[in-house]
Amino acid sequence: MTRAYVLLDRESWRPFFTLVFFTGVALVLSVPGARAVGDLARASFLVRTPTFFYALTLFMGLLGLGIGATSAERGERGERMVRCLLLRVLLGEFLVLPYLVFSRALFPGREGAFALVILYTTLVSLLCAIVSRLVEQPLRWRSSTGFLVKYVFFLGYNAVPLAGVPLLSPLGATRVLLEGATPVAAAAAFALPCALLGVFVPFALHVGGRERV
Amino acid sequence: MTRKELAALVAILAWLALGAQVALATPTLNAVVGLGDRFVPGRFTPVTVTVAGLPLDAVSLRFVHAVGNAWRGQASMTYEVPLALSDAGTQEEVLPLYDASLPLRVELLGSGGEILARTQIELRQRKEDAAFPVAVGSFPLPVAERLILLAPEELPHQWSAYDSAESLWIGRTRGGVDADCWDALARWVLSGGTLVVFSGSDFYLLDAPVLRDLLPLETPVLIERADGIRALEGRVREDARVLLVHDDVPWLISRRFGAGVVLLVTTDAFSVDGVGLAELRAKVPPARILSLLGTTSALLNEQPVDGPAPWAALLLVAAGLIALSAIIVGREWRPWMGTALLGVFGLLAVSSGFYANRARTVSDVYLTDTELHVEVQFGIILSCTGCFSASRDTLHLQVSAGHPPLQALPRSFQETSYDLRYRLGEAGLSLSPGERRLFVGRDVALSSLHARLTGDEEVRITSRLPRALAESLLIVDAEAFPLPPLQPGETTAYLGTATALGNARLGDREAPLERLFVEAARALPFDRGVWLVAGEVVDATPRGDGPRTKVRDVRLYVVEVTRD
Repeated sequence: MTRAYVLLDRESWRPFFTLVFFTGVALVLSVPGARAVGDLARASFLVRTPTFFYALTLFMGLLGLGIGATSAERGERGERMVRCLLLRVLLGEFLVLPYLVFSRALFPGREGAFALVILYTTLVSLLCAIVSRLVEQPLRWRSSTGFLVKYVFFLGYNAVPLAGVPLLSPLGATRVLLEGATPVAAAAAFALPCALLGVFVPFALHVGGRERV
Repeated sequence: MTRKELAALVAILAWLALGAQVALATPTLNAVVGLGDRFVPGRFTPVTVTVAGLPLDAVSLRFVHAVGNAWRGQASMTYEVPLALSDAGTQEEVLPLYDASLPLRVELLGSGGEILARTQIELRQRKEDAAFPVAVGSFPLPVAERLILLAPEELPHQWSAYDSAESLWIGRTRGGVDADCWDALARWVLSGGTLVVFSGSDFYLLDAPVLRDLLPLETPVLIERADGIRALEGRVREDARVLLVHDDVPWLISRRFGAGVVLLVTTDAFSVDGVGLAELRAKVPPARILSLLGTTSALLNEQPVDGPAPWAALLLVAAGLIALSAIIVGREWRPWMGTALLGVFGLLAVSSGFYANRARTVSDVYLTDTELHVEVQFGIILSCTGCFSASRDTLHLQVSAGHPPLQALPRSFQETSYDLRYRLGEAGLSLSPGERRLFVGRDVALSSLHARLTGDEEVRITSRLPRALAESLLIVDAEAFPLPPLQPGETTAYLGTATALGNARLGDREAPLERLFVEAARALPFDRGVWLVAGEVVDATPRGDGPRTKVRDVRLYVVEVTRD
């Protein structure tokens, strides 16, 4: 029996809380505590790197993995499942919206890059949610195998391309988008998650089967 | 001569004529570097370029100076200045030269940037390790060691060109010194230079209005000493000191002029013997040009940083977590939870937007610009610009500068690029993340402030500046009187209670203006005469396409006040 489609409840709040907590910590670490230029020269490397955006990319992906697993646990399926996953991902983005607005003061004049990063992290999170849902579906419930498979996928997706083509990694792509990517680079960054979603969404619809009313 | 031979002869003549035309049309460049062909690396250096066969489309001169080597790393300094030749076809520029290992390349550029002519000047044999004494005119004996002799017509016309001179001695000259050169020399002394003038029977050859302003004697006249030598005599100025006396007549008189010293030898150079010269040498201090490098570096360090406060970020995160916990933790989904989440996080986002506004936005570059204007009958500007990159990326900056600025270079250039491209009033450079640079500039000041002490307690000040100067002091014989803010136009102020110069403050203690004032007070003779000291600190974030830059301008005006 499938349970009612809800955005979040007492069993699914943790990924959202983790997202808000860890991106919040990254935001606090990104704020330069310096009061004068002399202190800035000694500022930590966290201030010099876009820590908050790396954390956002990483934890939006983890949110995707979490909500995908919850979706499998609940037996959600069909187009409504995809719609629900997207809504939860968008809720995650909305919960970090105050941080994004705040971080505008740390990255002046890059509002366009912000929009691209939000769109990109939404796609990556949705991709992770679909992959997580697909991995969990045949294994039913959250088995250790399923956990291992999806987290290996997640780590591989984030880390492996950094050694060769950083643009293919969500972290590398976030950096490129923030630094003011050329249209070609931006398109290349979006190409992989879009292509993977193009493959996995129909597959998820097919494997999950039509929704039973 | 056969027709064939005649045709060959005509052809040869035509070819020769054509060649001559081509040769005549080819512009040639010649350049002289340094004072008497000598320069000290790391200082401003005069470069005089002569152009022959000037093409019509020539618009600018470019100087390319390579610094460093394979071990130290390399940097390229390019200075492009508009072509402004004198009637004699020469142009005098003052450029910072840093190194002598590679030649200086000079190029004449056309309107399209094409090179019309070029030349190279070897610097290696022109290099001196330290500032050197410069003598102008003729002397019977070498007046100092490592002396560089110059003819009066070889003297540069810009005061910053004398940067390599340790002291400048003026002896016997046939035609005196050009008025523009006197002007440049006076400004150099004002900035900290040391000028030694031999006078006596040669005085009237040298006599010029600027020299009279510099001299430690008022109303000088020629007298004949008991030993038959003609000497200059007059009323010794209040701020002058007689250092040596011969035959009961002052022989060497010294006067502090601005940050520098003028030494007057009251006899001509040819009346001085070896003993006298040794006595004189011992009394000549080396030039100490006022430098704002240390002060600017400290002020840059102290420049406030914009940005949101860490506690605000912490508060936001705490509010978000508390709200999220209160709404969703341990509850079943209800529609009101969605509305509550939208409402609370929407409100937090709006509050964030209000808090993290333009005034709390971090800057990519912090720039501290210090300027010290010293104005007597003429004025100089000593400036220094410090910049720091707080950006995460390498930035390309354009810094405004009236003349090619001198960059404070480290020993090694391996870590980052120190290339500088100066073109028509702007210096282009790149700054790596977390990097800082300092640039020194020198210029001529136009009269901006004029003050007159009309009585014991009244001072009339005329300001030609567009803005009010918030902080000002009047210093009368080492006593400081605070003045009200100086508005543009005329201000009449009355002197109140005086404080000793040592206790006087221009603005808050440790504030930028006070720092600059202390630096100026170390070099300028505030202990004698009347001085108006006024300044301002302007913080701005100019809007533009480039990196977000926070600029702090610290300007101090030091003006000699006339007494009625």
